[in-house]
Amino acid sequence: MRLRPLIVGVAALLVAVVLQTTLVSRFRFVSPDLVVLVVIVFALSGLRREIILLLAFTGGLVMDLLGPTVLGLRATVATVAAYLAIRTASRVDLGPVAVALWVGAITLASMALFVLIGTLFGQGAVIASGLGRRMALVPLANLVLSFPIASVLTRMMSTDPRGVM
Amino acid sequence: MTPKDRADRSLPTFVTLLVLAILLMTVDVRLSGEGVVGVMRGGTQTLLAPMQKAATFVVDPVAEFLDSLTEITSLREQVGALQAELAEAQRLLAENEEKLARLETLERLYGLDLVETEVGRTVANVIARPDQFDLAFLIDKGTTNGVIEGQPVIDEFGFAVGIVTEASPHTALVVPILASRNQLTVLTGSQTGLLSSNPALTEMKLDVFDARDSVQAGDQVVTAAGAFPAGLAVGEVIEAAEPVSTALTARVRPFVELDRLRVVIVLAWPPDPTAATTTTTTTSVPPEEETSGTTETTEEGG
Repeated sequence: MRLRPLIVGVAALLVAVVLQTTLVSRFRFVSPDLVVLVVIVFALSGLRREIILLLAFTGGLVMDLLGPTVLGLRATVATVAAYLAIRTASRVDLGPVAVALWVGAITLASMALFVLIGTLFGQGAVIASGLGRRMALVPLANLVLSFPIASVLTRMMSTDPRGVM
Repeated sequence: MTPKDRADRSLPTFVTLLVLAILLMTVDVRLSGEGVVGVMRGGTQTLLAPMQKAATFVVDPVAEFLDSLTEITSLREQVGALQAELAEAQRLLAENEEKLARLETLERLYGLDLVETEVGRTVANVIARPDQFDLAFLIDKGTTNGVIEGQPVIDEFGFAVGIVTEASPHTALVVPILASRNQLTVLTGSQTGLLSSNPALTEMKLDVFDARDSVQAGDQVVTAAGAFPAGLAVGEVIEAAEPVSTALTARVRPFVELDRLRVVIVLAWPPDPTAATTTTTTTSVPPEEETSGTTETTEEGG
């Protein structure tokens, strides 16, 4: 069993969680969702699909545990984003621009799911001010950041990338 | 054998994880964040706190530099406005000093002896925010420093910020009043009202149910005794409102700037720890032994 992709994946997820809760939350206008971005990019690596889903679930769960929202909310969102990414990764082998658009689209879907499930579970606090602006800017920020992150992560994690980057 | 050649078990894994997540949500809602869930939250926060502190140490100067770059154009206007505010504040201070001297004289003449209560203060750094959707934030002080669930939090200017909702040994989670679902009892002038937040807005709603007078734009809203000590500034009325029958509704702009919060102060309130809301994460260490920072004296009933 190749351990390197798994170790890089876990480390990337940890870095994403720490940066998301410290660096990213400081900027008012640029707010990527690094955890969702990283789990989407995992779909382009050589990691087993089940492992990607488990990593996504764990990353989301850790974010849940660090915040006041209901436990399992972000875990659901990250797992669904990872599953969507796994199922559609083979269709984006057209280069970095296609990957960026794909990351933006899945992030947008995950944001919508987050708001929907959050509302259903009575998490009023998750619908913070400037929701519309954030719904637009988070996918856009993920789209832009996917260029460097996808490139670096797929190289580090995969000996057999799926021909995307 | 490549990963593609193996049997694809992604769908069963996905469904299992989804069911698990829904179960977790259900359990969390039913337990209201207590019990196992509270222990898990505390453990995770304790584990990640050192990394978050280290990242904040590096990130803070960078974030502040970038913030100052974006605001550089408006700094001159701000300096002018602040100079005008300072002049006005100095005038008010001179007036108040006169009034205070008169008050002290009258208190001495009438032999008034006010009951004084000490409120412990724990100064804490904001080390993390869960993500862009949450206004809640983590601080680097926890139960070992005397911080427990239910304690009020203010900023360095004394403005009401929020309430501690989770406390682990070394960190605590603070939910700002702007994101809280609980209403806050406040005073505006001599009228008591309830202040509630709308997560979609940056302003709050003030409801006064036995209104006698109108409120004017700029009227200050302060805390009434309850979750917070009485008299802490919360915000100001945005526009004038008249009572309809005996009810009055007004919009309030909170003073606290959540985006800029770096340091906060947790108040050991209520002063009697047995009256505070406690959880299983509460330490047995007496707060006054471990509480860092200074101690303030407030006057009750004054």
